[in-house]
Amino acid sequence: MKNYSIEVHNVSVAYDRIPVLWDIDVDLPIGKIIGIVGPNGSGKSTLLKAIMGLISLSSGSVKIFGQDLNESRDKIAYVPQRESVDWNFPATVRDVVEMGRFQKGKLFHRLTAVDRELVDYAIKKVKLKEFENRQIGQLSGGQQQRVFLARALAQGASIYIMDEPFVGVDVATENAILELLTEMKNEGKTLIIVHHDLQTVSDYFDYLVLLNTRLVAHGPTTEVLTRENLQATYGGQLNLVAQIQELIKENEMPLREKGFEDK
Amino acid sequence: MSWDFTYLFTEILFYKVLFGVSLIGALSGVVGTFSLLRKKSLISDAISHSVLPGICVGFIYEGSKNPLVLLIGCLIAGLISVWLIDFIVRRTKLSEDTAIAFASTFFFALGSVLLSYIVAGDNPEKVGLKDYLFGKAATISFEDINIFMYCGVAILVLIVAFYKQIKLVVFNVDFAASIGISIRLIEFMIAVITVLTVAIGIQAVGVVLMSALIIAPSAAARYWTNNLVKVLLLAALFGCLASSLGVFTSGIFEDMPTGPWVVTYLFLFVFFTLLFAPRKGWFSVLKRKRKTKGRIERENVLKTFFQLEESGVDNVRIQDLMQRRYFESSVLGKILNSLQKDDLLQKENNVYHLTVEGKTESSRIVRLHRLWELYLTKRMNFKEDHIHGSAESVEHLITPELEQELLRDLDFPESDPHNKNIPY
Repeated sequence: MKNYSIEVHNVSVAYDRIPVLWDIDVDLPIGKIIGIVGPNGSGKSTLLKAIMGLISLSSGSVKIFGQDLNESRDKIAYVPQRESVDWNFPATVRDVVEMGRFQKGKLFHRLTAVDRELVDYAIKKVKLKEFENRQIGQLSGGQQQRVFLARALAQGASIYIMDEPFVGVDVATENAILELLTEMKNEGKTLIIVHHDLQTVSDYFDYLVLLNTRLVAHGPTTEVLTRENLQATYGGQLNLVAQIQELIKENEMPLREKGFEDK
Repeated sequence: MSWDFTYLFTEILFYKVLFGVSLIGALSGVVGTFSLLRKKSLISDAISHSVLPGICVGFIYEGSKNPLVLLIGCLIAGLISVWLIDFIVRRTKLSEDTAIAFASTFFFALGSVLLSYIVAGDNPEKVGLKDYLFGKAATISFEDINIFMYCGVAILVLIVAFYKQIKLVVFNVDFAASIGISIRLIEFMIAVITVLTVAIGIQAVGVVLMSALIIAPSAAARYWTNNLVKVLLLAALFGCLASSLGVFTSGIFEDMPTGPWVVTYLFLFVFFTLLFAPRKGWFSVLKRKRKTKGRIERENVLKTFFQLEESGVDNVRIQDLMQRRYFESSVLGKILNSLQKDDLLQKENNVYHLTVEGKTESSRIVRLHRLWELYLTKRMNFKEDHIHGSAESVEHLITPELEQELLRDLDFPESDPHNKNIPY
């Protein structure tokens, strides 16, 4: 059996009974920069959240390096969307990056000297050393994105999952992130990135997952980025699927009959 | 009215009340900080209203005002209301504010009904139960204080032990979940400590006013610092201080209620904060505005000198300045004085000259003005008669870094769109 970073088996997810991911079945390689690409509302962020166990699956399962999520959390780091938090929170850049060194089981948690070194290193990597004591609300959007990146770096994981890191970011940050991603790839890390800007897809990623509620295609960028695949991804929702979604909601229908998950 | 202070300070009852109420105030400040940061301040209002039926059921069950039983009643009722709000938000189309308004009024109505049922009954212990509505600090007993202490210590130990977890969940719940923190457990814990604080607080300030004690200290504290630990400590201090002042006031003046005074002091703190807090306070904002306005006027005067000298007027008098540009005469006098004091300007026989530094500074402002005009026409396709207004304000804003960027972008131009020299 081949080695995969993440295996997604028949995953379906529904919000308020409307399915946003339908039977996604995809295995992701190790040591690549992988783009998850699709139009708005295609379930890209949902797929990330499903992988991270942040939402309950209607069906299917996810494996990380062949293990369940709970056995492999320290191998995977998550960078949420920048807009998902309130940046007025009373914390400095350093405070937030330190969150990456947090261990879940520990009460009265304190950082060790090693933790502090890793935090220092992460802050320097994203070029925020001079801002480390600044309140996070007083940073630009690009700097805030780099704070999140540094926090993930401090986690020292093998897989990094990022939700739209290039949104609302200045050119300097974009280049800094790209440089960092390449460096991380060369160290053998796997990077999985949700992205919606088609212009830059072939520059950024060497592996693509095209998504629009269902899986359209996946594979090396050069093979996958074809006119037909893009047409299928961005050509609007399939009308029939949309109608079925409406019917499911109206009839309060379970997405899967009970007992399916156990199989 | 009694004004006997010596009596006040020798009275053990007074110290007891002072200690109990201050403890409640400090705890409320700490717990309220988490509510504030989670943007869930209003839930504390629903909790405090919903503990009323808890007290009543506890009383009916026990037949007396046993503080422990009443506390347990409060805890259960408060948690039910938190759960109900969460349930309504998740399972119906109603929004959170609707759910909170619904829960707080419904539980309060239920509590009032139970209260009238108890008052109509013949249990002699019922006396004083109505004090829970507006609080009556004087009824705090040593047994109550013991309970406050145990609850307070338990709450503080929980917060210190789970500090990092709580901070993570409050700041970024998705990230917290991604590293394996049990969100349900931490949120339940936050709910329990909030309900507990409300439950021990209502005896002092009452069901109706309790939420102020949760909301106000942290709201004020957040204005003074950007450090979470300091916000927590400051909120505790504000809560403690307002509570003590409330107790003193009601101790000095007979028949004065404690709770309403505590809340009044709290809002004085908040008001004071809104006026005087650094950076975000009203005075601080006003000061910044005035400073900027002063700088702009000063730069305008310097610019006018430059323009006059450019058009060949060497001996500048006040009339020349006033003719060239409108200045309020009182303001102009002050600016001319301060420019002289800073060695940017020289005055001889009512005639003014820019010094070397004055020339440098004035040409900097004119340069920024003309660079920006050029940028607007060249890069943003503005018409030449539409650019002056924008440049009049932008010239005061451009930082040295931005100036360098402009110069590079425009490749160190010689003249502006009106064919005037750009001075370097």
